Parts: sequence; C-alpha cells; structure tokens
Amino acid sequence: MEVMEENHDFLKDNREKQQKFMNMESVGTPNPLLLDVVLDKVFELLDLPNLLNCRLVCKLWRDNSGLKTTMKKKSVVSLRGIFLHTSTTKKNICNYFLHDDIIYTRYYFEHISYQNPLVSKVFEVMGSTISILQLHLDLNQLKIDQFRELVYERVPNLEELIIYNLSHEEIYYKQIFSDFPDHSTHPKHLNLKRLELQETRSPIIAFMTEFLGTLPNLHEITLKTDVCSDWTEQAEMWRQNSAIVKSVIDGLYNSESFRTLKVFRCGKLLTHHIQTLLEMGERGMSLESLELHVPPKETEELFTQFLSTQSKSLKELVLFEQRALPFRFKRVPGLPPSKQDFRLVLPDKMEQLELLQFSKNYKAWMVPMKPIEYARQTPKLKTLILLGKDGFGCISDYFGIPSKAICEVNSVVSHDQVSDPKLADMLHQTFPHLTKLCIRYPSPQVLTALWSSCTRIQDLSLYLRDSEDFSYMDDAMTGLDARIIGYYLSTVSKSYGHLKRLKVLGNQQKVTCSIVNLTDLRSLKIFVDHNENDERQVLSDATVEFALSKMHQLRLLELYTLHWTLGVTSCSFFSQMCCERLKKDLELTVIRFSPGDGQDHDAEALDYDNMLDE
Amino acid sequence: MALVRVISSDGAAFLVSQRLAKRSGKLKTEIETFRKSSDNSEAQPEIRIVTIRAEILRLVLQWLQQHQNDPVLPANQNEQDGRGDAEMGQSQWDRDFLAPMDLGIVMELILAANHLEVKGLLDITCKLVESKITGRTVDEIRTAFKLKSDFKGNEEEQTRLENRWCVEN
Repeated sequence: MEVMEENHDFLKDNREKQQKFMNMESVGTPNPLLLDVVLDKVFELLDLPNLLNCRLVCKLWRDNSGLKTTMKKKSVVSLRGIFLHTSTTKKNICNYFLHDDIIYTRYYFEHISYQNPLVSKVFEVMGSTISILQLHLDLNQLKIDQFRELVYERVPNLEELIIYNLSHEEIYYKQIFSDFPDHSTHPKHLNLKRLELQETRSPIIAFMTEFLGTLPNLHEITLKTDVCSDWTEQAEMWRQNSAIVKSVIDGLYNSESFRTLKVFRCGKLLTHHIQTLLEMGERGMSLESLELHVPPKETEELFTQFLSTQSKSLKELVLFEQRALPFRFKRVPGLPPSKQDFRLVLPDKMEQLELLQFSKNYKAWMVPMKPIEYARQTPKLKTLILLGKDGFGCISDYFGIPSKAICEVNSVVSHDQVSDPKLADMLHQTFPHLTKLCIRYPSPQVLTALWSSCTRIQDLSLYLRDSEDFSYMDDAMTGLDARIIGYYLSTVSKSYGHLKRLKVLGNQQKVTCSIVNLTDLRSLKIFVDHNENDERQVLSDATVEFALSKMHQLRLLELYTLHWTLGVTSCSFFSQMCCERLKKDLELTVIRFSPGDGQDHDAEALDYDNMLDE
Repeated sequence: MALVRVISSDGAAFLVSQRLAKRSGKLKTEIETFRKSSDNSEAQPEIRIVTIRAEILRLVLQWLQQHQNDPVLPANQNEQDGRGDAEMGQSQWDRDFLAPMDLGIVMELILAANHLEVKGLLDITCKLVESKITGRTVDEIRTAFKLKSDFKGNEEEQTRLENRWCVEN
C-alpha cells in the first residue's frame, strides 16, 4: 500500500465543498481557466475553429499568448508570404492588410499590377515582415526598376523569391529583363537565401549574371522549365541551348554566391556547364543537394570528377531523364546499358551521401549506374529511389557489389512492376537493414519471397493504383489480384508482426481487400483514386466495417483522395453515420481526412508529387 | 518503506511512500528541502499543501498510485511525440477515473496537478477540458466554465470581425 489515509472525517461535508467551486470568485480561489499555464496547455489541443471561438469568450482568453501562438501554428495563417497572383478584390486588400495587429492569412493577387496604389501600400505596411515573395511577371507587369525597388527596398527581410515567367515571350521580346542596370553600385540583398525560377525558357544571361552578383548568401536555386511548352520556338531553344541553366550557371560563376550555394536543382546541362561546375567545385563550392537532368554521355568522366569535389558535402543526388525516350527499349535484366547511355560512375567515396535517386517519374527511364560497393563508397546512404520504367530491369546496376560490410540503406523505393522473386534475395543481401520498402504491383511470388528474406520491413507502401492509360492491362500483365495481396499481407502481419506502417494506393475495392485482416497495423495511409464523375463517397462503409474498425492498434489513419490532375481533392470517405462510428471505434486513433489541415495537407501533396511526378 | 506525511488544506493527512510522492515535482522538492534542513535522516517529512483540499489530494494520490510505474516523461518533448504519448497515456483506467467527476472537481484537479507538478495528470485533465470546448458555442463555454464576458461595447463584435479574416479562404 503506497497511500494511507489517516482519517476520513474530511469527506463528511462534501456538498459544502462542492459549493465552493460554484462561488469560486467570491471566495477568492482562482478559476484555473484564467491561469496561463492551464490555458496554454488546453489551447494547444484545440483546432482552429474552436480556437477562434475561444477568442470570443473573454478578453483574457483572447489576449492569451498561448492562444495566439497555437493559432499561428495551426492555421494557414502566415505573416511571411505574399503571393502576387490569384484574385482578390481591392476592398479585400484594404481589409486584410491595412489593419494593425491582425492575423494575416495567405493572400493572392492576380492581374493587379505593382503600380496599383493599394498594392504599393500593402508593401509599405507589410514589407518588412515578408519573407516569401512569389512574382508572376507576366501578370504583375513589373518593369525592371520596379522589380529592383520591390525586391531590394520594399522587402528587406525576404528569404525566398519565386519568379514565374522571367522570360515570358512578351518580356523576352520587349527585353525588359535583358540586364540589371547599375548592378555594381547596387546594395547586396543579404537575406535572400532561396531563388526559384519557374517557367523560364529563354536566355537572360546578362540579367542573371548581374542579379546573382547581388545575392551573396544564396543557398538554394531551383529551376523549373516547362519542356512541353506550347511556345514551340522557345521549347526548342531550351532544348538546344539549355538557355536558362546557362544563364544561371554563368551567373553563378561570375558571382560570389556560388560559395554559399547548397542546393542546386536544374534541368539539362551541356558539356561546358559540367566543366564550369567542376571549376566551381574546385574553387570551393560545396553542394549538399544536387538534382539535374542526366548529363551528356561525353561528360561521364568530368561528372565523376565534379562529384569528387563534392564528396565531403553532397547528401542528395538526383539524376533524371526529362521524358521517356520513345526509341529506347526496356533493358533486359543483366544486360549492360547501351554505349550511347550516360552512366553514372560514383567516385571512390561519397562520405555524406544519404539519398540516391535515378529518375523522377515512373514513366521515364532510369539513369544507368556503374555498380558500386555501398558499404564502402557510400557509408551513409539511407535511401535509394528507383522510380522509372527500367525499375529492377537493370537491377545489376543498382544492387552493386555485395560486400560483407553492413550498409545503412533502410529505404528502397521502386515503381517497377516487380515480378522476379530473386529481387527479394538481392534486396536482402545488398541492404540487410531494409525497413522501408515501396513497390508497385508486386507479384505474389515477390511478396512471399520478401516476407521470408526481408523480415525487418516495418513500413510498406504498395501501389495498387491503376494507371490511367493502361488500367485494364495492369492486372493482365502481372496477373495480380488485390485479394492475393490482402492474403499475403495478412500472413506477414501474423507471422512477423513487424509491419507497422502501410500505405496503399488504389481504387476502393482493391484497398479494402488488401487491408482486411491487418489488425496489428499502427499506422495506415490510404490514397484513393477519384474521378470528378464518381460519387462523392469514395470508400464504402463496408471498408470500415470489415477492416478499419477492427484495427485496434491503429494510432494514425490518414485518408486521402487523389485526382489524377488535381492532386489531393476534397471528398467524403464514408457515410456520415459510418464516419461517426469509426471515430468511436477507433477512439485512440488520430484520423486525418483530406483535405486535412493546411500544412500537413501540403506536405502530403508534395510527398505524392515526389513519388510519382506525373 | 520511507514515508512522507502529506496534509491537505482541510487537515486530512495521507501517509505516502516517498517513492510515490517523488513522482510529483513539487513533493519531490519539498522532501529534498526537508532532508537538507533536518539533522535526523530517519525523520518522517511532513508536507502541508494549503491550496488543495483532501478530496482532491486523494484523487491526485490515487492517480499517482495507478501510474506509479509509468516512465517519467521529459517535460520538453516535441509536439508530435507529445501528442502520441498523450494518446497512449490515456488508458481505460484514466477514462474511468475522470468519467464520474463534474467540471468543478476537474478544475480543482487541474490546479492541483499544476501545483504539485504532475504532468501526466495535467495532460489528461486538460484534454478533458479541450473536449468540453470543442464544438461548443461561446455561450456554452462561458456557462460550462463559469467565465464572464468582459468585453465592453463593440469589442466582442470587433473580435468576431477579426476572426472572419482567418476563416475565409
């Protein structure tokens, strides 16, 4: 007995004590719901609509600092960004921005030029709080001197600048951004760390060189170029000259900012670009993340040399083929890549490398690699991503030289239609630590083999998704039925008990069949394909009844609907009644439905983009 | 077994093992202070808690006893882990423990848990309060927690207007 009560008399007059609370204020006991320490804790647990309600209860609650912080954390509220693109009325601008001490959400302007006095006013009032700015040059009608005033004077604390259409047809021919006047006498923008150029097609070399020269602390450059441009002439120009990359690389080469550059994502590089990068590497550039289109064949050696200069810093390397080449055949397992193919040769040692990825899209080809000894050459490698049509077809490239040393890789992602059971053995031999696996259409044989060799797998993502173009062929090709997957999954969770997280993509019948019996799961994420024409309810109530409500170990359930172009869409999953029942049955589970709360939802959508990149 | 005598505001005394008492941050400090100031290491410490009445103190001790073997959670865990642990921490026992209490008792329990620095108990009681706020109207919240609106003039309307900016879009 740890607690003993010495007398019990004190319980006699309970009712009177009860009264005490009712008259709390009069007897001077503080109401705990007026104490900051209690309020902070309670507010942290509430979601946005309820928090807003709480602001109306009394002044003390409204002004509670915990409530304010939590609100900022939980809402899409952002004091940080102004995005100059979508529509809003002039009246709204007044409402949103010209009050003191209010909480601003993200707002968008479209077709509002910078000359608009209201927009100027916004920058006057908010300017110093803005850290992200997104400009659509074709819509903002920004002239070069206005651009300069905006970026350098109005938003001194800007950290991230996203520019759309820097070389829009009109802008290009009007030569608005042909150069950056007075750049040498111009003050430097010390806070700007991230620059993203979207839909940039034509060369703006002089401008880029001079602009980058004023950004000494730039950490990250991302270039996204629209290859499938409707503006054919420019698309062709891009292909031939890779103009924008040239602009940026030349710009970097002539400025100081290359020294601080950590992340570089770009498109196609030509031989002389690789040469330039190598020179920059030798002069001291150390990248942490590099993402680029597969370099030309003749730069194989040069590229390896460049990588050696980055061997002490590079953590992520992503190579990809921009689009599937129609003339290439799928590689036969065991056959070396053709003589025309660029082949990645990693240097002797990449000390920091954690992620290695060989394509960005499962419809594209994968970049071949000279087999490596992971444990020695990439001692810190954790994730290997093999999206792409070849998939495990060129398995010998990526599975490398077996070695006795232990390799750290614990996560492999593949989008191949996996049917060769030998794969499981190879996975196990090369990556004995594998705990995360993501595969598309595994055959029953592969699954069986996986369960017997890779017993550490805890986190499995299965893509049971019908691809839009070949939906009727997929099952025929692999001979796979979701029921079979369901059967194998339930076997594994019974016999190994390791499977804790499962992510399933597929249509509703497949999903239901595959998760039934998985009662030991701790976390489950379901993406369901959704067409606009479909009924609004995307998973049947039967799914709840037969599968979900029995998962008593489940702590996180995430349900998202995906539209093939819109991404994550909003939709109801079950009937209202069923939904309530599910919440009751799974009392301990955190359930998230799409669209979910702002930030998480963004993260999910991004994650999905990275996986499929359609 | 080393004991400590804990006395409530209304004079009821509880003999508690020191091991258990030390799971309360406040009692732990008190016991240590007593040790330092007392010459006799065998002496039984006596701690008077002037802000907590017997009925509430008993509930706190009861909760501590039930959770005596839980791992002590670090106070500054990050948001995500915190949520996970709170989910895990609320056992069936906790739910049964809180179920019969009226809000008045819960309020007192929150104060007590806060005063005695019992994090786990504070977590579950706050969670209960949260569930009472969620989905209620402003008036219902005021009534439930005996809070008075102290907005003057159009201040409440003003706040309501501010709220609109957040929910739009």
